[in-house]
Amino acid sequence: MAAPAKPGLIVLAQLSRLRLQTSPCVGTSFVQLRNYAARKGKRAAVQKAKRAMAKTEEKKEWKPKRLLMKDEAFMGERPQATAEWLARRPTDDVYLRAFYPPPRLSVPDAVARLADVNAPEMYDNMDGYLYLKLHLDMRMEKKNKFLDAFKRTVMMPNYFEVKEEKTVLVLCKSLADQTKARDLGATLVGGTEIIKQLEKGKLDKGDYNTIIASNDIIPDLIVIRGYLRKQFPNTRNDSLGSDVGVMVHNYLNGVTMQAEKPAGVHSYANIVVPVGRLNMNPEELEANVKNMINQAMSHKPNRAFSDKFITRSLLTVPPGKENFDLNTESYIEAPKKSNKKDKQADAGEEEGAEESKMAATN
Amino acid sequence: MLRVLSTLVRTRSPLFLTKTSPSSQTLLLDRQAACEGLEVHQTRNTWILKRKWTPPLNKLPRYEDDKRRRHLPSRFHVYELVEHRDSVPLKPLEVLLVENVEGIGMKGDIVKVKLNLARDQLLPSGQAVYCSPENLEDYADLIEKRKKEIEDAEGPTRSAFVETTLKYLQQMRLNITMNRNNPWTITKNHIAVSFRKAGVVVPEYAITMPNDPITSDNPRDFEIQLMVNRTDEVTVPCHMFLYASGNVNRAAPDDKGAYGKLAEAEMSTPDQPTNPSP
Repeated sequence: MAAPAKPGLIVLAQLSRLRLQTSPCVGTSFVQLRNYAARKGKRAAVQKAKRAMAKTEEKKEWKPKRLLMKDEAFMGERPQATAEWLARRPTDDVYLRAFYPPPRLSVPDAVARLADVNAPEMYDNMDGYLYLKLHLDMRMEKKNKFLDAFKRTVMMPNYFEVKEEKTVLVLCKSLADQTKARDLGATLVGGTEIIKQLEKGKLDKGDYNTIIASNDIIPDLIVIRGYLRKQFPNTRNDSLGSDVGVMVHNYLNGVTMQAEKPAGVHSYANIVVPVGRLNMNPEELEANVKNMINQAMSHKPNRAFSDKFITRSLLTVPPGKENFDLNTESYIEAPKKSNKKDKQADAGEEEGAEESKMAATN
Repeated sequence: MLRVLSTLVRTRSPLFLTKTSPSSQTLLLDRQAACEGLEVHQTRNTWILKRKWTPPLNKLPRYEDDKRRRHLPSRFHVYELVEHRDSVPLKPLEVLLVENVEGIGMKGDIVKVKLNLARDQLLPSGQAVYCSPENLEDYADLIEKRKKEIEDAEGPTRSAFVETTLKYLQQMRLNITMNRNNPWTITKNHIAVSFRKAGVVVPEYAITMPNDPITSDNPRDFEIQLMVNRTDEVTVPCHMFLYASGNVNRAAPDDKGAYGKLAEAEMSTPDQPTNPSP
């Protein structure tokens, strides 16, 4: 029994035949006659925006939720650090360190303990570098704003040699300054001609760890501000000023401290920086530690989340794994009383402060 | 649970639903007051809700058994969550210890502990009592005795953690890392430093060294005695490691004994036992 043909099918077939008969110019296909873009910059602008979007999107690796929360939570506030826990003191003469909060020592005390392990009979590492570890609270008053990681070279009150590779580009107009910088050991010294080379791509900014400039060359330097970006000379990290000689000397003989955030973390940062050698005088080491702590404190933003910018400070000597907590508060100097001028400077600084905006996640 | 909710819903307070008697006309405006009015259930499954839309007075029933307006119109049955009692963290319980409890406290101490620890262990076993005014009166002597003990203490006093410390010391083996290039004789300071590296704080006076000295010429495993609080003695076996500072090839420790094959080959002489049993 053959089924009768469905009427709908017939109609469809007819339609398709109809369409075949129509001429292409009446059909749905659209032919572009103009061979130029209607709006010239449109495509470029769209592509630029796309590229910018791709840059800002962070690639997130999969992690168990437990670990993810651990990252995002602020590590300085550990759950066990309650007032009761911190007030706990040992009464036994032999005790496990895990049962009590770590003792907070002065620098000479901590150095004495580290010297015990690094004595010639044990690790034999008395000329090893003494490292200061600082844990920083990078949170701001606003919930999604955090202080950016920073880098700065600091002159130590007591000099010690650091094996750091330092390449400096010095830009200044006066010949006297140029010769001074050259004598001090700058990698490359020059004036406007160097700026032109940087502009044309004949010199690479990546070859230099820092760029130091004098005030007089700033109008010419502004042209390549977009190229230099974070390397643009700045008074805050002592790479812009009137006295080029002092700046170059301080950079080449100072110690570089760098706040680093672990991957995927915004709320805290760590600094690991050498402050001397173990065989130096403990008082000299103490002065260096005090200087380093106060230099780090100078980066505390006016609108910080809490007063405690440095949440923990430790001393250690690699390859030993022992860390000793320092009594940080005793080394922090009270900020100088600010008069009107300073206040204005502070306000300006705050506007220019490098703050990263984190996309509100979770 | 549902019943509780329904009673809550039917109350007449326009802002908060409380389990106050239906006749009460109290208008509870702030959250604190609302929470105080509630009966706190042991099962902690109370939900405190708030009406999203406040009904005007003419929509409310006018008297107790107002048949005409038994229920509010459905639009007034939209609620917002104020608090769920189950999500509030439990506060620790204060108890008075009647016996020494390892890791928690000594006899006569008033300690804050987790609820489950108190209810499952301390209170039923009689190790602790509730910190009620009556109990504080009954055990006043015990508390005072403990206070005096702490105040008059000269030198180390026994804490609640001492048992755990002793257990840890009894099972531990102390690793002592000494230099392979430089001469040395092991002193109490070296032992104390090695203990510190292992997370145990030990004063030098608590250590008793073996009779024959251990020197770099004859490194070997040995045992030391520790006097904890000048009362409890523990023997701790010590295991030697030799660390080569500088760029010298390091002797890797192996399972057999004190030092690796390289060190063994270099140091072994017929007279000295270089591979002591662990």
